[in-house]
Amino acid sequence: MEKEHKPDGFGEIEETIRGEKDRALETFRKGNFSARLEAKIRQIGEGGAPRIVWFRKLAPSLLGAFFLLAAGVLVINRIFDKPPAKGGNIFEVYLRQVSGFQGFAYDKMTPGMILENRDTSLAPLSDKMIQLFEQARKEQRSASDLRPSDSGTKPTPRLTLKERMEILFREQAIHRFFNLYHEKNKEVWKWSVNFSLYLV
Amino acid sequence: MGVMVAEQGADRKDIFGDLLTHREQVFRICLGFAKNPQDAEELAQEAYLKAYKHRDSIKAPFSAKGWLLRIARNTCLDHQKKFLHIRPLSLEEAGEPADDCDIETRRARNEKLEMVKDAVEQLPRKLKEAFVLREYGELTYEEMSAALGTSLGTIMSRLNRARRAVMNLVKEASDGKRA
Repeated sequence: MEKEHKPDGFGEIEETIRGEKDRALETFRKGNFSARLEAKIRQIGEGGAPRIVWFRKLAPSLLGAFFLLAAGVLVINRIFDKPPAKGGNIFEVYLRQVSGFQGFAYDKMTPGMILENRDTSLAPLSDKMIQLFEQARKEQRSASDLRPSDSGTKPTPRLTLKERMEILFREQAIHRFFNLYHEKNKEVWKWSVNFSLYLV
Repeated sequence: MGVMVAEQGADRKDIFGDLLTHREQVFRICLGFAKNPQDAEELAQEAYLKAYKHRDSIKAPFSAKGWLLRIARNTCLDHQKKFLHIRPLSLEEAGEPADDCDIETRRARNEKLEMVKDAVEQLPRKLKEAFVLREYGELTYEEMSAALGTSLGTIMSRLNRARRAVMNLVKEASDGKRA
């Protein structure tokens, strides 16, 4: 032990501590410390305890993950309890199963009919889409006016009225699906409208 | 690969066996924190069990002793926190082994020892661990520095303050008894 400066009068305390240590060690040496320790270690089992600790640490996380997974599966099953027909659109399949749905009759419809028969709750969206189509048509027209006739580039294909109506009606069919689903879950409805407006 | 793992396992066992050679030092440290030798032995057992459970975390054999002493110190401090509300047995209550001293001498000695132990217990945690590791564990400054993770200067300063504080507390207690 290093030589060190100790406060005056500390020697008495040091002596007391030395006496305590000597007496305690005497008893300690007579005892069977190692044998007792060995018995305790044997009780724990060779390498068994750490594995139990690992399991205890992981168990809550695993249980939580399992419950989340199970809840997710249940929710998905509840929403899509029947698988879509092969090659079919999931919305179309769902809408066909809903009573009162007339089907996709846009082949027989004119733009005027669509505006007359439209769902008022979807008015803002369809109005917006019509505006969009009008704007696109104007842009297309102006572009074709400006484009030189023999520039060598491939001309942009123009959509026929039928094609445009097809796109518009598909969008409306999707929204009707969400509208029907609205009764079950208002949050989904809000989300779908917001999402569609964002896309538009 | 299997042979290497088996060799590593055997090494760990050897290291743990080597650690058992420090059992008296571990016991002395525990004695510094405990109120009587019986509690100190229990604490030493607990420290060795912890060391056994975590023996895989021994990085190098040369640092194993410091690691063990740190475990012993932490075990004692945890124990003190847990059982703070329980009054420990005094030396007489714990049944100190009889020696060749007469009853009067033994009583005076125990009284003095109780005063010292009370004084150590009253020390702030950092001063207490420095005092116990040096006075009971008989660790060198370097070993203390490694065990406490502080510089030598800090260790020496803490030790000096702890010794003075113990002296003052013992003096106060002794004066109080006389009065």
